This record gives sequence, structure tokens and C-alpha cells, in this order.
Amino acid sequence: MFFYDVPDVQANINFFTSWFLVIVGVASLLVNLFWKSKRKE
Amino acid sequence: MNKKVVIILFLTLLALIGLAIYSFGANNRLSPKPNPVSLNPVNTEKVTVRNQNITFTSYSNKDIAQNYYTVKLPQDWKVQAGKDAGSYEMTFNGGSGTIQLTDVADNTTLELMILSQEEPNLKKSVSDYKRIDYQKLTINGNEAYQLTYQGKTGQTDSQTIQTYITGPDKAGIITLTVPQSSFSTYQSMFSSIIQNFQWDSK
Repeated sequence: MFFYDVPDVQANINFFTSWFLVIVGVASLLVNLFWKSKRKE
Repeated sequence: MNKKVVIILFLTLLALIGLAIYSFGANNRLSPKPNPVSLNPVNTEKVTVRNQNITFTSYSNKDIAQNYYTVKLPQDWKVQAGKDAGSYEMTFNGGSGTIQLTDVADNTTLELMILSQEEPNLKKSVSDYKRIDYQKLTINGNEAYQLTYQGKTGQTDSQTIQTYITGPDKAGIITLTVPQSSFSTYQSMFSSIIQNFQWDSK
């Protein structure tokens, strides 16, 4: 599963970073979808 | 900002806080739990050390997968689980010791880690640190590096022998400390304990 053995502390950091990016990415898409900009036409 | 966006941002913040706790908290996903079996004596045997018959008790540590090991410690030593999984803390008349596991990052070697990180940390944390000896040895076929140093433990001048043993995954560290005045008495026993450290294949 892993290319090389990662120390435990670094594995935790990698896990946090990956899921941080996923959560923020999904949140950004949702915010973009629901953002209502008031435009007067 | 409309209500939906505010809710999304609030839920995102909660998710990130939960992720941080899950990743780095005290019971994080990668924190192994000690196995109670590790504190059960496996067997005992009598060994002659410096013309004295000493009874040694074997302990088999099975806390962390791929890092099982067996150690033999004198029967009269008080042995308990250490703070981290895969470790022991020992106390005996006149001294103390620990056996623990440590990660070695892929961008370094065990010897480089000892000389560039471990020893500088010891110089900062141990009062009156003074290196006495450093040598490479082999323990049951595994490369090992042994650092002997003096320092002050409380008010006592102590001497510590710290042996780092390469392993299939983590490295093992055996640390044994006694007052300087009694180090020569314990040296053979310490050597016996260190030489009996064995990685278990399962």
C-alpha cells in the first residue's frame, strides 16, 4: 500500500493535510454554488 | 453572504476541528494501544553474570505490529509498561531504565539520527553531560550503536548506557542508568540484558 515507510508523526500530518484539502475543496464548491451575488439588471 | 453559505462555512469549520482532533488528539487513529500480554513474563532462566547466578525473566512485547521483541530482565527488577506503546520502564535497587521504540525517518540513518539529533538533545537535557564512549556493535545480527555518558540525575552523578538497535521497522532503544560509583558493578549485567534483546518475527 505504501511506497516507503513513513514515520507515525509524518503519517498523521499527511492524513490531516489530505483531508483538509478535500474538506476545504468541497466547501469551496458548495459556497460557489450557493453564493448569491446581487446584480441589478 | 446568504444563510446557506454561512451554514456551509460553519460546518466546514467544525469538520476541520474534528479532523485535527482525530489526526493529532491523544487517541489519534495511529496511536497503538499497549497489549496486556507484553507485561506477562514468558519464562525465567538462571544466568551467570560475574560469577553470580541471576534469574532473568523474559518479556515479549507485542504492542506494535512488525515491532515485536523479547527482552530478558533480572527477576528482582520492577517492570511496568512505559508511556508509549512498545515500551517498558524498569526500576531496580540503585538505578532505572527504559526500553522503547523509535521511528527513524527515511531521509536519515539510525547512526546519523543518534549523532545529529539524539546526542544534541541529551546535551541540552542532561546536566553536566559528558560522553564517555560511543561504539558500534551487533546484537543478535542487528547493527547497534551504543552511547555511554555521564550526567547529573537530581543530585546524583549518574552514568547511562544507551543502546540503539536497528530493526525491521522501528529502532529499539535500551537505556540503563545507575550512579557513577556503581556502574562497573552493573556493567556485565547491562551487557547481558542488551545482548539478549531480540526482535520477534511475529
